[in-house]
Amino acid sequence: MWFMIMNSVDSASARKVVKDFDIHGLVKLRLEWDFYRAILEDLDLKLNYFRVAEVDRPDILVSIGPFKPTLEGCEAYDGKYFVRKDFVYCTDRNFQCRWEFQLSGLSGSQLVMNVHASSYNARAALAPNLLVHTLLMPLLEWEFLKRGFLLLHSAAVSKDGQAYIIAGRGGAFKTSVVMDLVRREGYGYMSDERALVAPHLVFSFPTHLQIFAYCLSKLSSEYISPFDKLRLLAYLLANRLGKEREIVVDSSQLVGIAYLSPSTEPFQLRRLDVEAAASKMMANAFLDNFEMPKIVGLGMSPILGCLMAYVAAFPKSRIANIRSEFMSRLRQTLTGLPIYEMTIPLTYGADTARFVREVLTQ
Amino acid sequence: MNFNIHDLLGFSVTAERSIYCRVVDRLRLEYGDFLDKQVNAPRVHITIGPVEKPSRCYQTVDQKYLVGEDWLYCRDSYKVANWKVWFSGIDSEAMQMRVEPNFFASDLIPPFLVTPLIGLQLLKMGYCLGHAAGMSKDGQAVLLTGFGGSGKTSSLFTAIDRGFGILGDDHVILCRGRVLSFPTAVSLFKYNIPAGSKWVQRWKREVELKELIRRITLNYVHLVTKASVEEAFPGSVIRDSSVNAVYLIAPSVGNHLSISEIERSELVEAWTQNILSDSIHFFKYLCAYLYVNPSSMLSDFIDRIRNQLKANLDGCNNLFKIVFPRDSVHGLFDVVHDHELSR
Repeated sequence: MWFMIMNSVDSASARKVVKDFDIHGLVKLRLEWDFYRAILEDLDLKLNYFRVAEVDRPDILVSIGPFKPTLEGCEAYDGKYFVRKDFVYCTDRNFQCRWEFQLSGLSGSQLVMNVHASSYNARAALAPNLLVHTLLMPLLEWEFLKRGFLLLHSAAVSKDGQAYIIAGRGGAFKTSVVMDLVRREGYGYMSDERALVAPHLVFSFPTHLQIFAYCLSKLSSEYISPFDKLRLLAYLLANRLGKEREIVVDSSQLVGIAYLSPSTEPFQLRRLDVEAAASKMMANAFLDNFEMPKIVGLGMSPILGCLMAYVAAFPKSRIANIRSEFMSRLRQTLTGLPIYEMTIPLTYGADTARFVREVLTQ
Repeated sequence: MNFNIHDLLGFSVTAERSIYCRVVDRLRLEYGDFLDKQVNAPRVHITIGPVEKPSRCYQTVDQKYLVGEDWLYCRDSYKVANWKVWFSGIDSEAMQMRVEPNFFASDLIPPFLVTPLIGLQLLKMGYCLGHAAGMSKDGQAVLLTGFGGSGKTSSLFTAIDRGFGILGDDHVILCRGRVLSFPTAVSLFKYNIPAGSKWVQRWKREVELKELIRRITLNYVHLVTKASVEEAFPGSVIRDSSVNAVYLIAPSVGNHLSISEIERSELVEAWTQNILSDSIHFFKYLCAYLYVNPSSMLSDFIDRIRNQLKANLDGCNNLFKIVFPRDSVHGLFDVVHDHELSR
């Protein structure tokens, strides 16, 4: 039933909604949506801190809606990834949805991504949204890397113009720690999920800023009860991003890095050398490929599959060197910084917050 | 059960309960060619039995992997299959793996866990488990490497009819300019058995049935039929050979067909990606381990694969890329064979 409705709207959609984003003047992004999906998009607030009225010549153009790929002359990998010079197409399906996307202009000045997904049930109706955002992050990482910036999976806070990066995998309490530092120690918020980093410099990259700000002011921790979720939803529907912007610090000087490691061992502080920290960050980036939203039904990011296929087809392209480019930029960024690993307990409590605060203030 | 892989690496398997006999049968089918009465100092020890969540000191990664010094525990799933697995000795010479699969997971244990584990141990020893089909005639091997569905298995059927022996269907061991057999069970699908082939008659019904299931479930349940190389192609296994030529298969959409020489570095890079993609779920565990133990000797495992492929391929200068229409994979080996003869 849902499937039929979705398809009938598909053919009727003529109106497009365009949303533009400008990320610190470094990367410009445009999303084009079909009309009916714009309703869903309003719930999706990941990047709205960077919303602008209009950008000219976006670096990444994402177009969501049905499209017809031309696969003539492509090489096929795993029966799923279709590759030719500067072009990748990928398609897959599961019980909940069927989706496809293509990337073109991989080495040109504008990267174009077309995404289309149709869902078989109501729960999976969010799939296009989720898919776009899981696909978009690695593309942004690539665009930033081309410009010499790293988009790292880590939180960032700042005080008196000095920024700290707090890295950790999922479940390492990054968000809780950031909330705590902002609330009690007067740190400025830069991000709780991704940090945009250049040598000696950090730029803010707040994702889901409204949700973070809501939790910060209304809730005691990052964990939201079902009741609070409803209230949050009502809040998001009624309010646009506004005064939350004030808590964000846009750029700061990078002065230190801390890794959060939830562990069975007692509190510990350990200094890491550049090589260990870099290889930790590399593993962190690789593991991101396996953290996928459940609805899409994927074990692994299709972008990783596309990358492996593209490199196999074009081993001399710039993309083939993405790992070594990432590593050398990372080493350059980390050199000379104090890097610590903080071992914290498996559950978050007041003593964890105190420990992290003490470490950062030293 | 003990397996001896070309006297390079021994591995042993113990099943703690009889309910795991399905997994044991599956392992026997997969690595039956290496069965041995006993092995000295096995480099891999596999136990199939209940796996407890460890209580020792550990760090959690993604709330899913528990990682300690030299070990990793994880609960993982793929579609309806799920398993608990515990690796230890990751940074040592000999590794142990304990695994507790559910009913659906027994078919996934060899490709997801055991073969990549053997690959990792070979990598530590300076060899390389290459994702490629290997055929040999008169002591000269031709290797075909490519991603899944590129026609490696289909080529076996043609190769045997042309008088070649088999080194491996999916993997071969590269060992200092030579290639050693790794004849894991052949994966039979409807699409990779040539019409009218006199081989694998025994399995044809099963293959047809599984194809039907695949169609009914819209690709979700894609079951594979496994047949050991010795049973499917009796008397065709060859144990080692020197590498004569390597072909990188790129299946194309449309009718494009070309064979061109390819530089060593390009072939190695493509092959590295191929190995990564083949064992990606295993490398995911390795990365979770490396996140906690960044100073591990495996921290540069991708470079290691690359360098060892290069080193172990030394001396083989016939490297080609073959772009071939993906709709007619059954003709692939004849083109390769003709190219070999005309060279």
